[in-house]
Amino acid sequence: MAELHIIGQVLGGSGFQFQTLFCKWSLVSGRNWELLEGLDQGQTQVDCAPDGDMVVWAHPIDVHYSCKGLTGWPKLSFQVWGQDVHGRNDICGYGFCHMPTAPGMHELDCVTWIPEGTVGERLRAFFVGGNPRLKLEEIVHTPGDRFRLQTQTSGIVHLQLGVIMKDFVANHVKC
Amino acid sequence: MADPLPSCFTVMATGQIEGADLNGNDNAYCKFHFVAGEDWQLLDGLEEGITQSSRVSQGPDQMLVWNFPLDVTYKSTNAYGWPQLVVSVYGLDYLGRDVIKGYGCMHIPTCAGRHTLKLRLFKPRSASGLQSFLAWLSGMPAEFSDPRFPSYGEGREVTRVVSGGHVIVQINVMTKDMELFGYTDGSSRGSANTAQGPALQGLF
Repeated sequence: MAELHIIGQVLGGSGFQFQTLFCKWSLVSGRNWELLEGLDQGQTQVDCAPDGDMVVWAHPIDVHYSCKGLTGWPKLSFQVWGQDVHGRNDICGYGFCHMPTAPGMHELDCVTWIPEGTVGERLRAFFVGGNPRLKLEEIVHTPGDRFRLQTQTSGIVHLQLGVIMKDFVANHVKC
Repeated sequence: MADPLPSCFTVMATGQIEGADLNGNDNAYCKFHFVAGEDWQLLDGLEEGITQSSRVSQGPDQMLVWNFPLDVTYKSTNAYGWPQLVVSVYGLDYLGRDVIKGYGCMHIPTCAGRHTLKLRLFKPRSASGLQSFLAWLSGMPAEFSDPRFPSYGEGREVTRVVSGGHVIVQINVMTKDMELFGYTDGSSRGSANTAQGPALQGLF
């Protein structure tokens, strides 16, 4: 039985359409993995950053997994939401990234996207607000059929993660 | 006869709070706290402290320098609850009262080696325009009641903040006996200060 520690932060986001953003994140893993300690999901603070600067969330991630097998390696799935001047929340990006499989310090930049609606929906979103959202949020992190989904590129989520592995070498895993 | 296995591993972090860039703000000081989990015990060093008050340099580089030494040693049996450094930067307003300029937080690097940390600062936003005007007038802007709050993962979703400025911290991390516990922290491979990810030399 090996153990994995992920210790780091969701630093912030940049390049999104709003500058007032928050992020809902969750760690998704397979059946071989069990969360021993720590929170595997959360929501960051809502930060309002000056134009051009990174939106700062500085949300700590400290999780301790135990694993019986390598499949289902944990991945971090996010939804970035923007808040406008009236206090309404609107989706700004979906994204995911796998946790690094090598021990050490890592700085990750995860790309995000949002679904693009029809011309009428985009016009309405421009004037009234309300970007289209996904009905099934699992497609963000599961490989599957996304062929009919039309999306638009959104901003980047910045992470800084430290990975500590326990007993992987003893179990003959090269990482 | 083999040596008995150690009962815990040790992590030592030394370095300095170098200074801050507060977007032109002058005359500020910094309070810091180290926050660690329940399995962690402080062996040596100060877990909290206050730096001196400093002014920006005369030249074009608007950096505020504190050069405050950090030196903590922890022992633990579990990597969960790895220590975090939380900073609160205070400055003086136009009437000389202490006002919060920003909070920042970052984990001590998990990989042994020398690291430069950039703690981006954020502070709570007032609920309305009137409240922020009153806060400016009275010199009492909104603050977190618990200075360690930025290190918590829970309860952050209800906070609305404004970000700006950053604090630079230099940290050297050394660990002892982590391999005897079966931990690999990645410090034996490539460079510890990564921008693109670890250097995977010599694997194949």
